[in-house]
Amino acid sequence: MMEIVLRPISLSRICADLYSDDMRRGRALLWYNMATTLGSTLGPLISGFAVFDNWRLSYWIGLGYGGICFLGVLFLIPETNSRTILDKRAKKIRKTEETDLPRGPHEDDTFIWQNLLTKVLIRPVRMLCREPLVLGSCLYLAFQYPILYIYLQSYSIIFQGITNLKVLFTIVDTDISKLDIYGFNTGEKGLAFIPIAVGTLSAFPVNILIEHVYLNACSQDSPWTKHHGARRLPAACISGPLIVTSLFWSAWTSRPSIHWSSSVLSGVLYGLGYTLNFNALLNYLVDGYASYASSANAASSLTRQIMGAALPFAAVPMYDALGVGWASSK
Amino acid sequence: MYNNCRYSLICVGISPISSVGHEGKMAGQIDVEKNIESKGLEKTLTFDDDPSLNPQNFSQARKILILSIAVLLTTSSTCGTSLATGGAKATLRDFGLPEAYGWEVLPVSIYLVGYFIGNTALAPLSENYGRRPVNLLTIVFYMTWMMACALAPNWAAFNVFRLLNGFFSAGAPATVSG
Repeated sequence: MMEIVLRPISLSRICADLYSDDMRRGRALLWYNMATTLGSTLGPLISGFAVFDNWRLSYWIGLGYGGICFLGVLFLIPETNSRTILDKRAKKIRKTEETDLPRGPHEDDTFIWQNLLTKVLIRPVRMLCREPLVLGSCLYLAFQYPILYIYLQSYSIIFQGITNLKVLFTIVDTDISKLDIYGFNTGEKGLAFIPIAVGTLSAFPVNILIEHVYLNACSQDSPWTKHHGARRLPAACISGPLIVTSLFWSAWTSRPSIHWSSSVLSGVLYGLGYTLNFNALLNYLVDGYASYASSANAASSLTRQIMGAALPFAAVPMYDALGVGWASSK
Repeated sequence: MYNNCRYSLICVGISPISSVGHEGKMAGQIDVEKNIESKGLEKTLTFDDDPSLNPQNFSQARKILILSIAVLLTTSSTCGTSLATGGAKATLRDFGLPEAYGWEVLPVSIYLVGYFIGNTALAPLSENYGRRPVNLLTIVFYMTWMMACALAPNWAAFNVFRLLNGFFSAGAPATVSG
């Protein structure tokens, strides 16, 4: 029989395996969130240059990168799940000493299908319906996530131009040339993503600064630190204006009369804002729902991925119909 | 106490903000509690006899090493998402298809669909079988389907490979985040 159990406690993962206090785990999570954004900007950079040779080359590079990761995991990452470690060790001790004890902490659990359904499918949806806090955070994240993808796509439009719109979308009176602003090639377009990566990386010092302010306020007993969101939410508050500023900036300076560097530099603010925002809200959910954090996370990734997969299809028709200025402003 | 929780799982009444979160009590500290419960029985194994085995007590350098590999892994899996963007037009041309915008986005979107399904399915596995086996297996499959993408014979196969590639790329978020 398969001995799988879904425990009621949170699906803690590597970050929580290593760090137990909120602050350090928050920082570890920040690195994870930075890595997700960095990866998204790395893709166009690699494939933009690889395509000069052959589009298949970018997947070979992806394969090589995967190989490096495989070696890294194989040799450098030990098991960090404390239950797995203890269960294994208990088994070993019983074998060498030929006794019935000790047992690992979860060896006697049995598989409950109902738990799988509840935990992964039903509870996230129920939390979305019943918890305004989860619903609010998830909606916000589900709004930000497709904006990232649309923003990344707007780079193709701003710097490279889309030339074959009319095949799938019959758009009347399309003045294609208005969309092709700077005429970069795919490699140069890939390079234009670097400012986003820079912004993403600068999220780390900014976050430490915010933590510092929070800790200072705590030691002085400021009233605002009593609020349960005080630890995470200020970063999210800062990130909002950053994202909006960046979008407006890139929207209204992307025209042939203005140098491309202005549009490119708006990516720094975007990377910073997006990473701060994501990190703040995801950590807020984990903090707030301690043992139900995994379900809250599942709820947020559910809403997010659906929007992220669907909305980018709308990007180019929107940019085409509205022009770069208005489309990015929306 | 955690066993009791399991049975009440189905009729969960979720309280919005539990005070627990603020004391920073995460999964790692469960062992401490378990230990208090089973003191004197010495039936359930804990880290008490050898605290150095507890991942929470790893040296700072070792933790940073583990985290940096995890970051590398995460970057590789999200990089896979946008890897299709640069060569989208060339891909369509190569398969003899018209360069239509909707089709350029499809390889990215379908990867995200796989990524989502994988994230949901793999997270419980990493809890039950440990992070290492899940990570190692998913990377092997991730590389397999990445290679399939590179060798794809036609557009339909290419997108199916992208879906599977996305599914197995979810090993990193399923084991690292949180």
